[in-house]
Amino acid sequence: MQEKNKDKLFWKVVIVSYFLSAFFSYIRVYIRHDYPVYTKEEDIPDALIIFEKIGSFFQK
Amino acid sequence: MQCTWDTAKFLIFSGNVNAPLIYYSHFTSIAIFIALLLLTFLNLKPWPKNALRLLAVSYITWLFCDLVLWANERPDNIMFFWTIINLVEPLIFIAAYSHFVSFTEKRSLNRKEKWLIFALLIPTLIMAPAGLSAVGFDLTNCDRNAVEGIAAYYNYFLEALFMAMILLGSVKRFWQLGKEKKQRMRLVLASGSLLLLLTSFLTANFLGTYLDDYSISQFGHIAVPVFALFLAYITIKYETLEARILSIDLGTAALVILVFSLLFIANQSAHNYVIILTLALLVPLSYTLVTGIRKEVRSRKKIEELAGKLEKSNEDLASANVRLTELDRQKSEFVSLASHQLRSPLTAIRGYASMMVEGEYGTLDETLKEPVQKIADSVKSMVLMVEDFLSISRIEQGKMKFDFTDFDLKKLAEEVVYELKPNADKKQLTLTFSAEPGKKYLVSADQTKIKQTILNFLDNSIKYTPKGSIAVSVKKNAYDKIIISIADTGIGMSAETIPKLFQKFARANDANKTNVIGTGLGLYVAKQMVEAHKGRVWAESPGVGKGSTFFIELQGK
Repeated sequence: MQEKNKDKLFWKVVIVSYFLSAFFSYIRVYIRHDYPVYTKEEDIPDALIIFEKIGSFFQK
Repeated sequence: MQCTWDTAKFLIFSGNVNAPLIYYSHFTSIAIFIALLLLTFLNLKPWPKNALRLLAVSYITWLFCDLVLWANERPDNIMFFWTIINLVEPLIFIAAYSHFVSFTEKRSLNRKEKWLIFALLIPTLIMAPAGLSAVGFDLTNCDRNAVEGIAAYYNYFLEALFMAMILLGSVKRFWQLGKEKKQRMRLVLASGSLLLLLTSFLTANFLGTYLDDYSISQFGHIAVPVFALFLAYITIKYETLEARILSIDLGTAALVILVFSLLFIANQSAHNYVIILTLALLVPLSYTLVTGIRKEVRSRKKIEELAGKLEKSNEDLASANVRLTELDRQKSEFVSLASHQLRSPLTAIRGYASMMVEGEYGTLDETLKEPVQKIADSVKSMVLMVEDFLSISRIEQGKMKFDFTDFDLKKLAEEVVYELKPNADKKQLTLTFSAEPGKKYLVSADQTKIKQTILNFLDNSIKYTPKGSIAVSVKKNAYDKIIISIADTGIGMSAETIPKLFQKFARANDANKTNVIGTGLGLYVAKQMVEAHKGRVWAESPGVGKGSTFFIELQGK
């Protein structure tokens, strides 16, 4: 495969990946409304909670 | 709790945006990046286009999405555009890194680097639709924010990583450049402005997320016009002329945009009037400045191109001149050789023909006498011609030898007149000689050469005078110069012909009408010989058909 074509393939992969990511995000938000709405401060999860979960998994 | 929000028009305009700085910082930056993007579509060699394009597009997208977040009231819009912001944000840093590489190392990212960077982006791409970017919608205290998940922190990690790579790359390159001060300064300015842009952006955003106060992140965009102006400055200082013009355009556009965007934050009508007045002055001034500089820079470029062409032509001419000189030398050598070879047989033919005419080999038959005489005459003119060729060869090769003696020029001229009188008589021309009787006209010169010169001139006059007379005279002027003049009533010549007369192979325009065979070398040879004696020759004529006078001037003793 020529260099130019390989370069084109790279950019195609990047664009398609971004499009798919944005498209599934769109479905999640606008079609499935798959996100919680927090009305209480204490319900809001810590963004780094995933690390705590991983940590507790290994502690078990 | 009941939250009341404005409905956004065109996604980005609403009363929800309560801080005017938000529109100011966003619109100014969008306009500058649009200008930058447009410039990359022009034919600019020194600028790394692709990286700048990606930087401009991702930054514009980020700013637009951010405006949507500020102005919008719908949770789904806020959630979606928040996700998009998290997708686009790392691209700004990747584009900046790519720009840094192409600006400093004059190369694009290679395939391995590209795929590696893409691999680093995969978690971001997966986390966005998986709900780890914008986890949920925060309605507490009517905040209207998305709750950011782990993807936001992963993005900050990526951004810090690319910034560190730019910083380390700059330091490494700085040391590599050693004593190249100009290149070092260029590097410092380029990476400095880029790092300022990224640091300001990243710090403001991180603080916005960390302190949960996103109005802080607006200050991050202040670095955008600074970056554009730095980019323009670097290009003006270090890049080619064409890029300079465009960087001036960019710098001026950034200035106009900055002033224009003040209209969005001015809260008093008096301020608006001042801004409009400033713009009214700034726009025509900027236009005049840009067009003036364009004109000047293009003229300089044209002059540089012409100078380059001229230099090349000069070099071509010099080499052509060397070759021509060599060819001329070879030609002179050839003529000299050929003439030498011709002279001996011609002399023999001439001698035997003359002897036959004179009856040395018995009385010639009457029918043979005339042809043999013609042979003798033709050979004589051929011998003279060969002599001319030989003289030229010697003169051009610098091999002409002169034997200087003191002699009476009057006597020599008289001798020549006497020798050529039969030729004049044959054409029924009156040939006279005049000089002051009893006076000597002593000169120090090569007698043979001067005789040949006078002979050439007089022979010429006889040839080109169909009827009338020829008067030869010798005079001395007040500066002790002895002048021989040969005045004829021949075909004469025009004023245009006179300057060409003493050039090699030159003959008067009407010379051919007189049916005279000539090479156009006689006068040239005569001039060279007299000039070798520090004398001069010249000709005068009142016009075609009105006769001519030839002069030979030598220094008297």
